[in-house]
Amino acid sequence: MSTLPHALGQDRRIIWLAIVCAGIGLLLVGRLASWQLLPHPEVAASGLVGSDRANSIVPTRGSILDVNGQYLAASTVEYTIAVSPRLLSRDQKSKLLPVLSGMLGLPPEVISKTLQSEDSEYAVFGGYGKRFSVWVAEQIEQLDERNAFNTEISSRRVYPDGGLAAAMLGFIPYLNPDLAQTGQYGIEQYYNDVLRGTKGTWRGISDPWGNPVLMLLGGYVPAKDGADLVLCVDRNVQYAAEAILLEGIQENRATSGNIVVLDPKTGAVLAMANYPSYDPATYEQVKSADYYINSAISSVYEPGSVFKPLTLAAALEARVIRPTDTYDDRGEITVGQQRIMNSDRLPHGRTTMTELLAYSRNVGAAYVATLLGPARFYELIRRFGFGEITGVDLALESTGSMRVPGNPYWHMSDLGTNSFGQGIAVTPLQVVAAYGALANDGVLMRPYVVSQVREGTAVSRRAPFATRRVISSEVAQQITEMMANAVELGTDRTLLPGYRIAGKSGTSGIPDVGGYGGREVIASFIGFGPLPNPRFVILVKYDRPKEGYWGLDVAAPAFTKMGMFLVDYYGLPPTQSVAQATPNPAAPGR
Amino acid sequence: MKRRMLPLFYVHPGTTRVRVPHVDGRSVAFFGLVLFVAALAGGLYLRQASDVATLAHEIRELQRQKEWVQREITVLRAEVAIAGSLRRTRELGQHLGYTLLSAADTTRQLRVQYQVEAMSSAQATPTAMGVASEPAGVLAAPAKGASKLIERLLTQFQEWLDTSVEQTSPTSSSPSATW
Repeated sequence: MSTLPHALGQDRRIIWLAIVCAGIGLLLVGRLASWQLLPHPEVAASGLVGSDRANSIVPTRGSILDVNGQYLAASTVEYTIAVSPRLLSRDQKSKLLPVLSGMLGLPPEVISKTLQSEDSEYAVFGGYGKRFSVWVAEQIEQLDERNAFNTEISSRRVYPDGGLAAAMLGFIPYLNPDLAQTGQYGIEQYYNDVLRGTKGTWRGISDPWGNPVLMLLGGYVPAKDGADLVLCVDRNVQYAAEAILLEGIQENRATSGNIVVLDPKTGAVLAMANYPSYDPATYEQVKSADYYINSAISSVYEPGSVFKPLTLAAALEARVIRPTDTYDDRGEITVGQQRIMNSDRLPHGRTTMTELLAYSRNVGAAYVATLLGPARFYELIRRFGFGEITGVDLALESTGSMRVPGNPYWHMSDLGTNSFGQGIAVTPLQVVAAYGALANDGVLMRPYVVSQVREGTAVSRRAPFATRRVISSEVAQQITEMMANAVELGTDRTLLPGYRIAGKSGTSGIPDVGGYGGREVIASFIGFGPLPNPRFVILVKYDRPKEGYWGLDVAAPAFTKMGMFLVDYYGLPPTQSVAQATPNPAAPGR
Repeated sequence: MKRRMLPLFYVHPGTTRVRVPHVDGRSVAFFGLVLFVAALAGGLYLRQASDVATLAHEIRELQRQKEWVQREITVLRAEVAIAGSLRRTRELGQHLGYTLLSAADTTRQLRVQYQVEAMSSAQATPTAMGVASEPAGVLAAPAKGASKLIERLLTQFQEWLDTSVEQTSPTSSSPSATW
């Protein structure tokens, strides 16, 4: 029979045991609650578990399409695939060897070398420049041993037609990681913010392999892909323009050139061809950064005689001349102590305004400019858009340069030389836009390249913008008629058989340190038609041709080819018979 | 015996017999209930935490799949762009035996010479290539055409009447040849 102290001792032990168990239980519950409910920044800092930092989701850059929906620039994604050999056993490596060889398309010995490499934490399959498709990366993610692999995504721009419209498109400098999503030049630069989209983020906890295991509430923000741009350029017209330009460059042995085609009613740029050009996909393989420049908007030149119709239009608008007026061409005129002569240095007696254009009389142009006076002349030239940007939606547009009264370097002789397009620097697009105003009843339209911006299902369309009325409708029709008559009078060939066009050739000297003494010129021809309802303005310009000299001989043939392509492509019916448009066999041709 | 000498939780022995500890049923039930509720709460908490984590994982998996699909779409779009390129079209054409025209090749185009009729001021719109003046003439004088037709029919009838029975083939000058 137990005694009292024995019974008491047993009870005491049970009670103490209960207390200790309860205490341990409470402690465990307390620590659990502490780890789960309270924040512990030291855990995130340890790096053993993924920290609560935002991971970015890269958006896809928007595409650039032509007016028919054909791609001019698109984006694709590629992957670099690496493996951590230390995380694979020998059996796993031998099992993966044939699988990876077939998956990655690499020889087994290359795969084996990569799997056996333990110099660094990760070994890249095929080297750092090797990229794999998204489907290969997906297959890697399906492997049981996926935790030993690392796939890194990179984006690349694709230009399906190579260098087509390169100067207009621009490029993405993929070789520079800091600028990997920043467009350079052209549309890629001008519309960079629209094209590149918005990065997404996700915030959560990831395991040591980097796999996300927990998403924080509100921690996922999807990426917003860039918008697609639809141009008003037709790639077939662009292709034809570039082919015709190249043909002329080779025939005339010119150093560079441009063809610009514009719709005068809307200002839409239908083609913009430059030579030399480059392939945006291999932008780094150019001889000089000058290749990136879109010379149609960024390079300036002295337009020469193509400026004369604008001088006459200004004079008609100011009513200092009438279309039927004449002047006495004595072969030279002095303006501001500067002697100005015709290109043939001959007098021609009584000359009409149409003959002034037809035979490109410098004396006549200077005479008309003196009738206008500096104030009215430069005011109207400014209204045509010279001396300011056209506002086209392309990067790096130049304003050109023009000395005007008030400029300390301006002289009265500038009035004389500017009247026939010398001593003034303009861009090809400015000249095209100004002629567009003549073709559009005197209204200057702002040129544009992008006609639509597509963000998902939302489409924003650009409306044509009339910059200003430059000249009256009556004056526009008068000058158009004079130019059309001048083309028929002054050329020894039909420029566009079956169609009536208004145009002007230009042969401008290139100034150097000593003046205009050099033999090199810029030969150009600009025209619009078919009359009476012009659909196109076409400028053809060749720089420093070695074969041929005059604009009518060097550039007009390319204008004819471009015009013929356009009327055929757009199915424009002829407005006159071939027999009706009889050229003047006696025309000297300029 | 003084109390200070007694152990803690001393129970006064009522008898010399060894007392078996008395288990109160209500206490057991109470503590059992407490344990059950605690276990239930703990279980619910664990279940909920597990469900949330599973759901979060599933959501992340779906988002990951969505991102993969979007990347596939991007790649396919690029392939469509390359497939529709002028370069590939030209290569396919050459493979099929087609040749590329130069930009303005007049030797391979059919050009029809025609004369544009002198138009009056009332008819100012240009006509399309190949459209002759005959339709305009017919539209302008329908009555004249009908009487001409009747005249022709009558002439043919007369000629037929004058034709001998032996003559079976029509002459080249007969009006029926002009039909």
